[in-house]
Amino acid sequence: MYVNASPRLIIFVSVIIVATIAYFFLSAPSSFDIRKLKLLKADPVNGEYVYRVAGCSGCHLGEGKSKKNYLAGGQRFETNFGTFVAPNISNSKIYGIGNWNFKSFYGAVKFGQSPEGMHYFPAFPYTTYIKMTDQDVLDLWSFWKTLPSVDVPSKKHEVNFPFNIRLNIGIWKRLYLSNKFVDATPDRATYIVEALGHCAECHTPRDILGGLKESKWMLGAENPSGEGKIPPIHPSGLRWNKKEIVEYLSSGFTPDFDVAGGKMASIIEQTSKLTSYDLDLIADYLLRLQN
Amino acid sequence: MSFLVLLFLLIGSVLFAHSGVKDINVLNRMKLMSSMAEHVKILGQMMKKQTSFDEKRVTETLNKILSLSEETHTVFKVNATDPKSEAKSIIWRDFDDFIKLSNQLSDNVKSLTISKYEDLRPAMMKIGAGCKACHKKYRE
Repeated sequence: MYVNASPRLIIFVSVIIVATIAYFFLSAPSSFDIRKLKLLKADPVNGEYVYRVAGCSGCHLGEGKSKKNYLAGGQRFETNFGTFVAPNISNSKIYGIGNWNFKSFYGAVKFGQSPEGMHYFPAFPYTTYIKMTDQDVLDLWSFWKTLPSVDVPSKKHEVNFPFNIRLNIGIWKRLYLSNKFVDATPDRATYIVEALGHCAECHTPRDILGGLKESKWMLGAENPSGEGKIPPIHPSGLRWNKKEIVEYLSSGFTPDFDVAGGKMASIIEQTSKLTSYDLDLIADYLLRLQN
Repeated sequence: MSFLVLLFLLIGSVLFAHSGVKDINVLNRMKLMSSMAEHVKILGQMMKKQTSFDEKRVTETLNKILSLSEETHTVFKVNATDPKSEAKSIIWRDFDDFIKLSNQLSDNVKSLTISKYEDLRPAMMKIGAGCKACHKKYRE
């Protein structure tokens, strides 16, 4: 049967088809190969240290639970895009990640995608963990397997349309997911702050799409929950010396002997267990932002 | 001259630290928390060797911190708020737990013995742990 379609309609339909193909192409999950990692030897002791620096339990520890490594999730994170609820990432085979293998873990941590290829919301800071070394991811996984299983179901995120469409995150990742450091001359200090510690995730303001504004690195940000402001940790706003920064990260005491509160108190619980060498490096990194 | 400027700044800071806060309940709890920080600072300055170790002053300060920690849940009894307040509203939904955590600081302080300089850091860690336990859940 012959259909007499107008040239305009043909162009319109073609544009729609091309745009749809482009959308699915651009929003597809990343493919990656971990065969080369088979040569690495896992070190769970280093993995535990990475777990502390990366602050995994800070977000995923069950709300109100002081039990060690009880990664049941449930903490709520209010943002402009909706409320994210930290999922259960314990070794529960029903509710957590107990059925995962290393490839699943690697894809989640470095590329923010599930074993089935679904994009995770960037409330999970894979945007910084992508900079993590393969050795550290492997070590972290070897430690992870020693953690307990907690049989508590994860709660659903409460994210508004259109931000709840996971495919859109694939396109978001093309804009914002990069393994390049902000620091022009990266060293271990950079690695701890930018790859593991993910300080910028809260202390740097975000643009309209939720990406970090690198031009305002560590200059403080609006509190996504709407109450108060997250303070700057750039030397232009935080006028603490190296000893004072190290003291705060070790004990939670500010130079005026006020004590950290809110999410930062959870973070201090982890940073207080870091080596004094690494705490010095964090302070060095922050102080050199002035240059 | 510089001394006078410093003096004015100091007076101004004390007078206006909580300026704009109208609610008497909020004001009282902010004053209590400021007083707590001031007293913890006395021990902190000794720990940092900014002032010399003085056992008598340590004991007085610990007693003050203890009485402030025991008073804490009383000043937080009324659910009142102000834009300057850093208290989370969950305090009043979970007041029994709030009392339990504020008592934890009292218990920590009661268990302390500071008779020499070397005792200061472990004592400060214990005080800090008591403060953090409550701040983590109930302060912005």
